[in-house]
Amino acid sequence: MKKGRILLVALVLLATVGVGILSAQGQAESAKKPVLTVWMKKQFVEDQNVEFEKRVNAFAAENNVDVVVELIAYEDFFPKWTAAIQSGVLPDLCFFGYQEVGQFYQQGLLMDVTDELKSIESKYGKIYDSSKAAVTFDGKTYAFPVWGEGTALYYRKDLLSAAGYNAPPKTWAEFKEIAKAVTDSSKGIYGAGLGYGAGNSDAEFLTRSMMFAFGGSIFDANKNLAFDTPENRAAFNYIISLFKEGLTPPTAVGWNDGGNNAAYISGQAAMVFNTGSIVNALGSNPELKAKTGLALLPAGPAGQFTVGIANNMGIFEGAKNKDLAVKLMEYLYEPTWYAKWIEAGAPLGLPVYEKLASAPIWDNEYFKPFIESMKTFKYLGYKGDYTPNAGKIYNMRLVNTMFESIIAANTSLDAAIKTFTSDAKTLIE
Amino acid sequence: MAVTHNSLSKTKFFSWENLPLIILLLTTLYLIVFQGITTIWSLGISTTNKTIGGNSKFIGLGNYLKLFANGTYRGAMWFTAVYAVFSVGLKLVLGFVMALALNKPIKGRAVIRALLFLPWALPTLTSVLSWRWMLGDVGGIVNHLLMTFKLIKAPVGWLGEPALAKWSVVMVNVWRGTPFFGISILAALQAIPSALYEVGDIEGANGLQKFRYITLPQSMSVVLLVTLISMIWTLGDFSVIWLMTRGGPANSTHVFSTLSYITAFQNLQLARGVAISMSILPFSILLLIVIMKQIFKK
Amino acid sequence: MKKQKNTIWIIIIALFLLGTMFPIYWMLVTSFKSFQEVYNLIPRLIPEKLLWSNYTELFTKYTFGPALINSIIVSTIVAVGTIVISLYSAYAVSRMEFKGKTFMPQLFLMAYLIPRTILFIPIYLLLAKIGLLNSIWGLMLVYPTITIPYATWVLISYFQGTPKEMEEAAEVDGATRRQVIWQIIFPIAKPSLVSTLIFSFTLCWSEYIYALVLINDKFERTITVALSSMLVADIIPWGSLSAGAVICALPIMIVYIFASKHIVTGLSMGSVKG
Repeated sequence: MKKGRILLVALVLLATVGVGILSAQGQAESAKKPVLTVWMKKQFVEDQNVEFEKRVNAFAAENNVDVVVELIAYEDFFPKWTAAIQSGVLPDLCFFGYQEVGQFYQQGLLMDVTDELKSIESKYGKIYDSSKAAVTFDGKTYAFPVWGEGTALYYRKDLLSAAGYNAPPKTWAEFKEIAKAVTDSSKGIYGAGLGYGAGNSDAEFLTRSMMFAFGGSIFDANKNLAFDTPENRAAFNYIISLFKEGLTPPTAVGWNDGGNNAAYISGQAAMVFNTGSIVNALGSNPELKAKTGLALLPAGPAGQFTVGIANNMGIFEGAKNKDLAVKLMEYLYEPTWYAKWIEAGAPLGLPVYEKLASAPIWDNEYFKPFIESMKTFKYLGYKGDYTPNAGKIYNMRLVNTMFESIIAANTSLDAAIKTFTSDAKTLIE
Repeated sequence: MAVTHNSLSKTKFFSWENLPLIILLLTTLYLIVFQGITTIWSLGISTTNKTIGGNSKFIGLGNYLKLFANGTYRGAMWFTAVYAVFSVGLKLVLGFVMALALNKPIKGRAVIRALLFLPWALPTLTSVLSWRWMLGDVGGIVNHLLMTFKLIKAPVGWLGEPALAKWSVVMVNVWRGTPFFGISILAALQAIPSALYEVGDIEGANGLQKFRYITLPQSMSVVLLVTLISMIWTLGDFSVIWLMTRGGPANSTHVFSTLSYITAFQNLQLARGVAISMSILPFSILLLIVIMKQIFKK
Repeated sequence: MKKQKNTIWIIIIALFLLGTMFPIYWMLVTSFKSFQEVYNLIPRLIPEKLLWSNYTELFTKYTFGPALINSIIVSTIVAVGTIVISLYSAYAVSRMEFKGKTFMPQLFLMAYLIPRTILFIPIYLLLAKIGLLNSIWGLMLVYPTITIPYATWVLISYFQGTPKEMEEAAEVDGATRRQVIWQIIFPIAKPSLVSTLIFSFTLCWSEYIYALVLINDKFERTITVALSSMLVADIIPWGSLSAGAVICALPIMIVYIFASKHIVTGLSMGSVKG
C-alpha cells in the first residue's frame, strides 16, 4: 500500500521534472523574435526601477522585439559577469561600474562605442567630460555614461551651531576643529562619522578624496605606484589623529557601507560623508532632514577633491544584438525621459548631460553639493587614468586594511605603509 | 544468506532485484557529469594563467608557488584552518549535547525541536546580516544588553578588532551550524534499539557508562560523517565571513573562499582565484580518507 | 534522582533556546519596526507598535511571492527525489555485494570538495550547453549535487549500524528486494529518512550562488536571490529583510512540526533513557 503510494509520488515527480526540462528547452528554441537581454543595476529608489523597466518594454513594443530586463544588486553582478563571459551567453546591454569598464576593456571584451556616443551627444546634448573620461582609454570610449554618484558632507546644523559654528567646515583642518567641538562621548555623539572596514567601500573612496586634497595619491601621473610620499603621510597622520583623539564613534573600525549612514540617521555622528542615499532615506524622517545641512567635501592644501562614481551601460563585443542594444541606449538617452528618470533618483543619481545640471531641481540645498562635486570628479587611478591595477587595490581594500591595522591592531604607520606597498606590488606584478 | 541476491549475473542485471544497484550507478554517473567534470575543469584551470575573458597558457604549479609567497594568502590559510577547527569542534560538542537533551521525554519537544532547528533553516544572507546588525554599534542589541547588565562599560567593536572579529565569525558559524549536528545526531540516537539500554539497566550501568558504552559507539558513524561533511563545508564557507567582515579587519578573517572570490571575480584573475580555492583539497581529501576508514571499520 | 536529572536537561534546553532564539526573536521584532525605529541608537526589545507594512512591501515592492513559490517547488521536488534515490543507493552500498562498493560512495563525497563559489562557473557552462539556464528546472537538475551525497551517506551510516537479521529473515521467507526495502527497512528507517528529507529541503531552501547565477528572470528567482536583491545601496531595509527572513522560516517550521511525529516513531519510541 504505502510503498505503492510513495513510488507513485516519486514517479509523478520524475515525470514532472522531465516534462519541465523539456518544455524549458523547448521555450528557449521556439522563440523567433530577437530577444534583447538587459542587465541593469538595481536602484535604491524603487520608482527608477519601475520606470526603467517600463521604458525598455516600450522600446520592445515599438521595435517588435522581446526583452528580458534583469535588475541586479551591484554585489551580485560579479559572479554573473564571470559566468556570462566564460560561457559566451552574454547580455546585450549591460550595466558596468567604470572600474569594470576598465577591467573588461583591458581584456578586450567591450565594444568601442566612441562614434555611437558622439552621435548621441550631437543629437541630445553634451555629456560631462569627467563622466566620459572614466570610461575612455587611449582616446576611445568603451561604455555609455548613464549616471554619476557624488559624495558630500552631511552635517547637523543644530549640533554645529550649538558649538558655535554656523557654517560647515571648508577645510579638513576646520573639519577636525568642529568635530572636536561637537563630540560629546557622554551623550554618545561624535563629530567625525567616519570608519573603516573591509566591507566599507565608502571609506576606500573617502580616504582617497582626503589623500588627493593633501596633494597625495596612490598612483602618479604615469600610472606608477607612488604611495610613500610626504603628502600621503600628512593625510594619513591627519586621519589617524581623528581616531586616536576619540572624534569617531567607538566601533567605527568594523563598519561596512551602512555604518556611516546608520551613525548619522541615529544621531550618533554629527558629520558624515556619503552619497545621496541618506538624503533619499531622510524622506521618512523630516525632523532630522530639517536639521541636516549639506556641503562639498572639505578642501586640503592641494584643493578640493571628490572621488566620484561613474555608472555606465556597455555592450559586450560578443553580444548577439549589438545594433539593437545601441538603439535601446539611444532610446534611454532621450532627454525628456532621462531627465525624469534621473530626477526620481536625485540626489543619489546625477545626470550626465551638462545642461541638466542647471535644471531647477538641483538648486535644492540638499541636492546642490552632489552635482557640484561631479564637475571635479577624480577616479581611482588619479593622478593618472583609471587602470585595472587601481581597481585591484580598491577591490582588496588595501587602504582600509592599512588603517585597520594602524587603528585596531596598533601597527606603526611605517610598517603599514610598507605592507601596503608590498601587497600592492604583488597585486600589480 | 540469500545468495541469489548477492550474485550478479550479467544476463539479469536489469531486474527489479537490482534496482538499488542501477540507481546507485545512475546517481554516480550523474555526479560524475555534474561534479567530476567540473572538478577536473577547476583543477585544470588552476594550472593556467587564465583571466576572465582572456586566453590561457599552461603554467603548471605557477599559481600555487606565487600564492605561497604571498602573506595575505598564508594568513588566509591559517585562518581557514582555525575557523574550521574551532567552528566544527564547537558545533560537534554543542550539537551532541543538544541531541541528548532533545532525546529526553520533555513536554513540547516537537515544537522545541522545530525552534532549535531554525538557525539552519534561515537563509544565511538574512541571519548573518542580522547578526552583523546585532553586533554593531547603532541599534546593536548585543552591546546594549551587555551594557544594561553592566558587563561592559563602553560598546565593544565585535567586528573591528582582529581577535574579536575572529571569534565573532566563529560564533555565527556555530550558531548557524549546531542544529545540523544536533538534529542529525538525534536521528541516530533515535535509531539505537532500546533493548540495549534495558540490558544496560539490568547490568546496573549508570548514565555515564551507558553513554560511553551504548550511545557513543552506536551513534559514532553518524557523528563522524556529520563532522566530515561539516568540516568540508566549513573549509569552503563563504557567506558568513563575506557578509560579516569581508575578510577584515586588517585581513584578519580572510579565508580561502573570500580571497578566492575577490581574486577571481573582482580582480579577474580566474586561474589564481581557482587555485586559492583548490588549496583546501589536500586537507579535505586527507580528512575524507581518515574518516572513511573509521566509518568502514565498523 | 530522576527528577533532578530531567531538570538539568530542561535547563540545558532552556539555554539552547535562549541562544538560538534570541537572534530570531530580534529579526521578528525588527520585521515589525518602522525604518526610523530600526535606526534608533538605543534598540528597543519590543517594537513601539506592530507595523505590517514591511510584510506587505515584500510582495508589492520586492516580488517575493513568485520567489517563495519557486523555492517551495524546487526544494520539495529535489528533497523528495533525493530521499528515494539515496535510500536505494545507500541500500545498494550497505546490503549488496559488487565491485567498487566502498569506492563508489566515496566518489559521492568528492562532490563537496570544491566550493560552490568556484563550481558555479563550469555548472553554468554545462547548463548553457543543454539550454536550461534561466529556469527553475535547471536548478532542480543541479541541486541534487548538493543533497544526494549528504543524504546517501547519512543513510549508509545508518544502515551500517542497523542489524540485518529482520531483512534476512524476510528474504528467507521469499520476500523480494522491493518488499524488503519498503516494508521492513522503510518503516524502521523513518526517523533518519525524515530528518534527511528536511535537511535536503533546507539545503535547497537556502542555496544562493547557483540560484543567483543560473537565473536571470525575476519570476524564476528563488527566495535567497529575492532577499539579496533588497541590498541595493548602503542603506539596508532592515524591516523588509527581516520580514523576508520570518516568512522564509515559516514553511520550515510547519514542515518540521508536521514531520516531528515521524521523527520519534522509530525503534526507540517510548523507552529511550540515557
